[in-house]
Amino acid sequence: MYKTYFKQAWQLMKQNRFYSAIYIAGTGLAIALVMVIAIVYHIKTADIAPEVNRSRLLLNESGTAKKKDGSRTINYSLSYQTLKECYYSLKSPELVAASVSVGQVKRLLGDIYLSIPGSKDKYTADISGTDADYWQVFSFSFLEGKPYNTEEFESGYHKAVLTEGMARKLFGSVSEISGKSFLINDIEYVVGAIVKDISPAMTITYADLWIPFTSMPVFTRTEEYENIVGPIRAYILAHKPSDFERIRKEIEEKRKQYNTQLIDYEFTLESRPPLSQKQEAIRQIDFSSSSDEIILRYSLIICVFLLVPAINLSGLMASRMQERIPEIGIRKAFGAGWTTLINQILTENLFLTLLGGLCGLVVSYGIVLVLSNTLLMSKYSEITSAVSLSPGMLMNFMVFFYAFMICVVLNLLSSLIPVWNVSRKNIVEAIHDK
Amino acid sequence: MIQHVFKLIKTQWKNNIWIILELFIVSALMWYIVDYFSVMLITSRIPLGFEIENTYAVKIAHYQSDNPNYIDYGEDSEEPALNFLRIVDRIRNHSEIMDVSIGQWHYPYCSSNMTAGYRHDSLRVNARILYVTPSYFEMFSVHPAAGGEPSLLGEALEHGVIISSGMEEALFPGSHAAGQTILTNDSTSSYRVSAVSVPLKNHRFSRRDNYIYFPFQEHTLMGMNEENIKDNTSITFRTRSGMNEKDFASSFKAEMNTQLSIGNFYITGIIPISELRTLTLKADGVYESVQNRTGFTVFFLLNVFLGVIGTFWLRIKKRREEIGLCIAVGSSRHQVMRQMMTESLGLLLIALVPAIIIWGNLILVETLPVHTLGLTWQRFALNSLFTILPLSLVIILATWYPAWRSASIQPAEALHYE
Repeated sequence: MYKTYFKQAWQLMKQNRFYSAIYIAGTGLAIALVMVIAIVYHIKTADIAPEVNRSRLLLNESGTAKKKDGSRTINYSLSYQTLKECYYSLKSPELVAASVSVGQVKRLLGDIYLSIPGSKDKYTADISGTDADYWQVFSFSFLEGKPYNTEEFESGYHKAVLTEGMARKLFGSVSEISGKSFLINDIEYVVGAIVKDISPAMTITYADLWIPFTSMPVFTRTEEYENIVGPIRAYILAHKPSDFERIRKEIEEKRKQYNTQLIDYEFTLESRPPLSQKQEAIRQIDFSSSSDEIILRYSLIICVFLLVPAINLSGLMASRMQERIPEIGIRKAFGAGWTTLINQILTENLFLTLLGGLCGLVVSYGIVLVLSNTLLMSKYSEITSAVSLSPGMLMNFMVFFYAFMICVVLNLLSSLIPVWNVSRKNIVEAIHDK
Repeated sequence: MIQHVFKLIKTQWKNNIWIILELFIVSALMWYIVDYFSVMLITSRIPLGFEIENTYAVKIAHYQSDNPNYIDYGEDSEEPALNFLRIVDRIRNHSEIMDVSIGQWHYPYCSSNMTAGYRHDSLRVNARILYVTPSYFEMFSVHPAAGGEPSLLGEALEHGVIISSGMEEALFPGSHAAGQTILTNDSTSSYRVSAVSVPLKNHRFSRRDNYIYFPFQEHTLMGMNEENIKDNTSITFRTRSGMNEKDFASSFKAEMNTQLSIGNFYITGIIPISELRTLTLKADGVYESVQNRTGFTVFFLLNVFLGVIGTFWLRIKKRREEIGLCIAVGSSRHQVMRQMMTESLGLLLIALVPAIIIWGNLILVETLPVHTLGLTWQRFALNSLFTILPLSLVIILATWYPAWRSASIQPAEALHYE
């Protein structure tokens, strides 16, 4: 039966080209804008390599040192000491990784230059400092070599992991370069491994180059404020998302225990408790509003984006239904039930909506690609490289699923009232119109 | 004609209700969205108070203690500060450079800033603090409020602090600040105001802000290590006019790179201040807001376009006979088209009635942000203009094709169906 509906829909579409084109364009417009929001949300929160464990990850990106009499608070991230005392010793999570972000490294060191000993060429690079478990928590694809292990990390060994792009710039090739040495701001490092390039859209892991943060004293030497805060961020991998509460509790216990050893200051997480990637993505949209406000605001925006086109399409449908009243009247006179008629019209309409959805999805890909820098990067980000997007980030089951669901919702929203109006007409009147 | 058009709209009420509903929602929302543009337009006409042509900021870095080039001067050595001042001197001595200024986060569009509260009697105000050298005012063309050359402010800086005219109004309403004393909020320090500058803004689309200028004392650097000097001091300079900023920045850096590496300091970049302006506007969300709001506006206008063109297209099919009759009894095609256009604009007019009520409510419940600009008549007028004008244009554009089609109906053919 549905096959007949689709056949009929196809015929009707061909007969009313102008109307169909306008209807498809109207649908596509709505889908395109809502899909831009959906795709951005997907890229920011879904499990995408190398951040494959986002759904199980707790982000502890800030820490506060507060004077016990309340006269002074310093908001920053964690010091190496705090990391070891309160995070590395946690029992409930599967793993704990730590890193100093690209932006933070830039703030501490200024621009960084890489070179090969003896060569005059210098290249700027986005560097991140990490620990050894970082390579377990995140899943990089290694082209060759191995990253630094725990012993190397703890001893501050000068070993680095480079992206393919950086290696090509620096050495002119990407093969057989592990073990070779190069200079970071005149300090010698050995290449440990080469990984595939990382898109700046991967906000936690993006860098051109990774080194153990213990290899540069500037990251671990934080004597002020009893060495509580520093530039380090902790990424806690839970066994499952439902463990988050338990981990937060354990951090709280560790924190209290740690504070008993401190003299004038205390370590608190009041400025930002550990968040999941989804909570963090929402927080990043607007620092000055609560996450409930942001969710409400975006739900309203999406509603308006669907409502305005829905009214638009309802208007088109209503005019169209007027034309088809005689046809519907005749079908009714021959015994077609309400459900059959409504079903048929909705299916026909869904056919047009899906075509519009497809166009809209393509347009939304275009918008995301062109505006990727503003859509996917925080406006405070220091990263200046262009955001690259892989096909997998755009074309995947979740994105298609969102698009389909939006089509169905839009279809129901736009056709329900006109169809209801038509189906109420009585047979005599309907045929009389002819 | 108008009466006739409204009669037409009324008889087709059932078909028109959808398009009127859409126009109503869109005009209500658009008024709110374009408000940002109105505020931008109005604020951008208020002078900035400074100029940044041919000015650059110097980005400085220093070797860390683990670097092979690191020189250990020992604690409390004056050598790091002297090295820093040597860099400033070498920049000053470059032939293309007119002035050099050092200060603390003092240049326009600097990403860091300090603010503190000041008071006079019971009046209190927050102001942005800038530590500057006298050359600052000439470099960025900051004039005295009373008129005269920027150099007057440079001279005044030697006798006290300089405040911006907004701060004078806030602390000394109706009188003059020059020669008076102001206190920090906790009354621990007092400062003599020696002059008042023109009103200043942070960037083109922000409101006027309060500024207070303190003299930058080079001797405060003595004894600081490289890290503290780098974190607390910035160097800016101005070149002769007529140079391409990007080219000059890179050629200057290439030329001076070795000369400006002194002690543990080295230069990592020369940034035209116009580039910092872009970053400030981005961080302040201006680009993002413009992009989002333009996107929303275009989205709504496209919807209206499709809605109107679709509705009128289906309508002329139904009204063939009527239009054919009009033409047969002597209406010109031009008149037929005009009638359809008026009809569609009439729909907008009807939709605007409830929309205006919504606009009024948006004002009454204080939904419009007033941080940058208060609720002025100018703002409402611009909002209304930015809503009604594009909507009317889009509606005319959308009606044009169906109207043209209907005007080209052959009366004989159309009436044949009757």
